[in-house]
Amino acid sequence: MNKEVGILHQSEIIRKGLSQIVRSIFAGDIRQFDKIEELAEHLSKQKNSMVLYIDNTCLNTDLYLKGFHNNPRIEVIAIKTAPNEESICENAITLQNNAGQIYRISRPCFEFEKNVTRSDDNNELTRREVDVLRLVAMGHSNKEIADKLFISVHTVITHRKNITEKLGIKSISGLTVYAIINQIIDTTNMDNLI
Amino acid sequence: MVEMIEANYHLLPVINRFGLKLGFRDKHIEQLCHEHEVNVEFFLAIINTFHNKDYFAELELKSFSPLLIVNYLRKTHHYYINYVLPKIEKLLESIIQSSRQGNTQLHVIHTFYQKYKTELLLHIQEEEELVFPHVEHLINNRHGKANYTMKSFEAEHSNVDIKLNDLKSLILKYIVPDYDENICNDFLIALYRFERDIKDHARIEDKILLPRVVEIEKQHT
Repeated sequence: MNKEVGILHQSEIIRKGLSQIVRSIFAGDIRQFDKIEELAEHLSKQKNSMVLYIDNTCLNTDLYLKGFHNNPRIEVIAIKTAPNEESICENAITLQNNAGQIYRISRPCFEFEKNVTRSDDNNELTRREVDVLRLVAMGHSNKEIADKLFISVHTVITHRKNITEKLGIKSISGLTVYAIINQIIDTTNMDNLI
Repeated sequence: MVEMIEANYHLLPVINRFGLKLGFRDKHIEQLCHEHEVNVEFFLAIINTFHNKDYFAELELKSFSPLLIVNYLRKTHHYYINYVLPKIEKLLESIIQSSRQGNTQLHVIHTFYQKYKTELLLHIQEEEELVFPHVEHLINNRHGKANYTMKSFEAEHSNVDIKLNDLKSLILKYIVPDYDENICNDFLIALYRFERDIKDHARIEDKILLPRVVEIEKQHT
């Protein structure tokens, strides 16, 4: 899941200034929005998670409260004009902040997500994938694997794609090495296999 | 020239392929090229392509004689065979020596590397013995060697590419670090540099040489 940054503020000077500052700690897309409707439209079109810097005065509008407040995909940082301004948002920067302060306040939002979608578990192969990997490493064709496991060739191909994506290994000999290292196949005749 | 190296020292082996060696003093690129009978525009085109992977002046590179390109590619092969591959192999052997005796994981990696190396050398040999002479023949004699065209070339590059990437992935992700990490880092760094170089090399072969030669073959039939 890709993360992006959004900046919603009427003032172009503030949008551009903040964008510049954020660029030093974030390499992904930084999008600037003039009006909340633009932001709403953008969010409806894609599924990325977002760190959103938003004009504090927008936070009390209906559109924000209905559409974005408590949206789990969005982490909100309010932009206040003065420090004593009230805000419904816990995280806030003010126009008096310098870049260093902005980084400090923003940092928790940019840290690697704790609830990652790809946890270690997802990178482990399933039982079936291990079965397929074993046969691939032993040099069988897709058809032979399909026959041995009583599945379709199409399913074998899907498994192989998933295996490659999880492991980051594409070649058959590379997969064979992986299989040997993880004792998925018998290692008495290793060298010939690779 | 020195300024260019300061901007990107990875270019050092690249300039060697043109017969240019160090001790430039303050000479300008143009001057050095003239002194060594190197085509300046070609030199710069290659350098810029290598330096910036987003810079790929296809039309410009295609405007040069395929003979110039073949010569450059030959020198690059020479560098790979005589310097890079031996170096990588030595580093791999050092890693193995630094590990516990009977470490089977590294043994398997070694076998995998040997297989990769054999494939790569075979591919390079085919280029040197079949492809390049065909190109030279074509340009010099206005007709190619009988029954040979360039089509089968491209697919092989991606095969070789994939194995190199797998080698990196296996070491980065799955091998238990039961070895000297500094030697392993040197090995990986050498791999990364080699990968970058050979990708650039393959790009020139696939996107410049191949289409250009196919074009010339068509003209002559």
